[in-house]
Amino acid sequence: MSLYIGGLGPPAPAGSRGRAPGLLTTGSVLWLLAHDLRLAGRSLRSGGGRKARVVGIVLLSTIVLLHLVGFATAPALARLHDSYRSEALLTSSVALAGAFTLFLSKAISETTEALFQRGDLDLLLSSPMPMRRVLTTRLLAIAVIAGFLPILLVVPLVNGMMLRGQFAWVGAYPVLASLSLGAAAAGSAMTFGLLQVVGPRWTRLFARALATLFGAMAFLSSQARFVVPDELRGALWRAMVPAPGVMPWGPQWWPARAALGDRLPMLVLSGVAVVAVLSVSAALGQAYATGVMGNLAIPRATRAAGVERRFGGGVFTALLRKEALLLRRHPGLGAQVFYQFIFLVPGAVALMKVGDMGGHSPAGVVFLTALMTGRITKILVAGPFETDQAMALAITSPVPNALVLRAKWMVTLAALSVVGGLPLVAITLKLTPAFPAALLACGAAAYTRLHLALSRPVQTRRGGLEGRMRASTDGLLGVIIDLGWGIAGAILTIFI
Amino acid sequence: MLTVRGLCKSFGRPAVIGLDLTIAAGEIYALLGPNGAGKTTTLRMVCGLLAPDAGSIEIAGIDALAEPARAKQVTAWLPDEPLLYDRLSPLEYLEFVAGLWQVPAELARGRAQRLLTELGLWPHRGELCEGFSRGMRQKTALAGALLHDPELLIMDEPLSGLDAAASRQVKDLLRARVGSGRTVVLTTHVLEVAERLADRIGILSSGRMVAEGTFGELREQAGRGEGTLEDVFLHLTSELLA
Repeated sequence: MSLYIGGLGPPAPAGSRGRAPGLLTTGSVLWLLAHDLRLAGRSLRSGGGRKARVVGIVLLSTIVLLHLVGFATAPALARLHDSYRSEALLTSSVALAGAFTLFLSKAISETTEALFQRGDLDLLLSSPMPMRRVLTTRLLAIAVIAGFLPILLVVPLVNGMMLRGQFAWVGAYPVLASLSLGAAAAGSAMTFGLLQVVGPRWTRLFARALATLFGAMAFLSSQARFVVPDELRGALWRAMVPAPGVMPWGPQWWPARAALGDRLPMLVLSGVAVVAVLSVSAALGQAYATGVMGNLAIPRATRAAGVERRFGGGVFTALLRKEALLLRRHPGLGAQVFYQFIFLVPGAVALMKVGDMGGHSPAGVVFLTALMTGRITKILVAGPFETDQAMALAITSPVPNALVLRAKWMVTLAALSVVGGLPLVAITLKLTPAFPAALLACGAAAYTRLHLALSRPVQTRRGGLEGRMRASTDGLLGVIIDLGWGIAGAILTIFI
Repeated sequence: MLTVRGLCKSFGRPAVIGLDLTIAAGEIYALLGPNGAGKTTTLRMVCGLLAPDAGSIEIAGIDALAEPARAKQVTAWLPDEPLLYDRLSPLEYLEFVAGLWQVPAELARGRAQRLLTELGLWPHRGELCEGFSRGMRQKTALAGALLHDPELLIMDEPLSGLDAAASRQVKDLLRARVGSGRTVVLTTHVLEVAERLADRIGILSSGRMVAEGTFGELREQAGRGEGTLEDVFLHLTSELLA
């Protein structure tokens, strides 16, 4: 191993100063990446041997199962590829575009986290390691994280195809890798762009919203037929779909052609992805260091109020104020609520269209609204009830526990009435007869979710498999409850 | 060893204002000040973790703003909150740090063993850091900071969370380092530590250096002939506030 250290260790070999280390030597990008992945792997295995075994068994079973599915569906895909018609290109393009938006969403989320969490940056940035190398490693790690699940799902299909002799499908591997690399570069560039434009205070909110939007892009596109006028849709479709029997050469088709085994587009795509990562690392390396450290150094300013306006109002006011402030400043709350609306609104618009055509749209809208109310309640409850960082403070204070809980209830309900009230107002205006059923179903969904949170409080910092399994059981129970109230509301709407 | 001239940093409001600092090699320098005085901001700028708005920083003759990588090669930073990897053992952590500073493997191996032994961590070298007490974490981070044998060691509250024995170990280690010509800059709120350990003391208040010198010189500046450093510190900082 070739190592150097200025002035302390053995003298540096001639000409080595400033030269990038070899591919796998200490201090190289891949060495740093291996370090990050080792930590991620150990994090998965935390909780002892039992958990590691369970995770291993689940992962292995999933991979085997997916391979069986892949092998079974391979003939159908083989026919698609054999034809190599415009349909094959279009299907592949749509699938790859969907994957890219998912990669992009994850990349923006990860970059935002990196911008606001110090983590090990003190150590890395106080070392002589060049900033661009640290950022390159982070980008690669983001690409791996973003691409892991989609690639895990696609790999069995590709392997199934290859087992059946369709080796051209091996092109899917470099294409997915290129897309995840490209998404990591684009996502980081977008997040840093936001940091420059809106400043650190709003970057987290906007970036999360952007990530949510990209994450839901596939769903929103599938709903486009309900929202976009028919003429415009027709024009877009004609512009997108290649003419039958004509091999399209436009760059928009290159990812799909690469995935179908076309070598030149595959090489170009891989090259573009690598250049994108290196360019972003080179351009933003220093901005990454100063951006992260600058953000962490700047105390988040709150609205200045004179001291005379503080410390008044008694115990309950203090509890209410604290809960309201923390709920308002919860970093992920806005994006999570936005995410719920993204899924509700297109569905509701689609149902309204069905209603215009004589269907039972009010029942469907009430179902969706109750479902969303339950989910929003769960999100709002998480702050005051589940992730209270200083619960011990209230418990060890002379304030009765009942009062502490009442303040949490009141603030959650107030927030819920503001957020959840919006769809109810819309229903009142558009579907007035369905309002009582919607109100009942939404109220019941919210109450049950609140009750569930209160009766089975969960702390964020729980450890071990048991805690996680209980959280997932609670999550499942919550979904069943939301669905139940949604269905009840829909039935009630029909009868009313 | 460390020369700072006209250092300024502002986060909306000024945090460090025109700071000048000269610290010689083989010296323990304690930077004191009330909360929010600008101590940590100053040290983070020296380590290259924050970009100054104005001023210059020179470490061992290297312009730290123009050649940050060279300056970092001879510097180590130990933050107040030791940031370790929970899922690495002390030995693995040191291995990683050695990689970051490109310490030759043989040298790193020997130093790691010596440091972990001196700090009483050798029996725990294979355990994951997640189960460590605050003191053990602090000592692991210190071992990491010393692994590349830095000429300038910068420490933010290095003794917080340490028990008496560990505190003594760390102080002995720091004295041994300055004895071999290395330099230590630290911040602390425990004034007895600064009084006993530091060769020179600087007192910051509202981003400005209000007094600097040996303990004896500070006593004279404050007109507190027989007072403790606490008396001197409170007198100097309250005088400025008044």
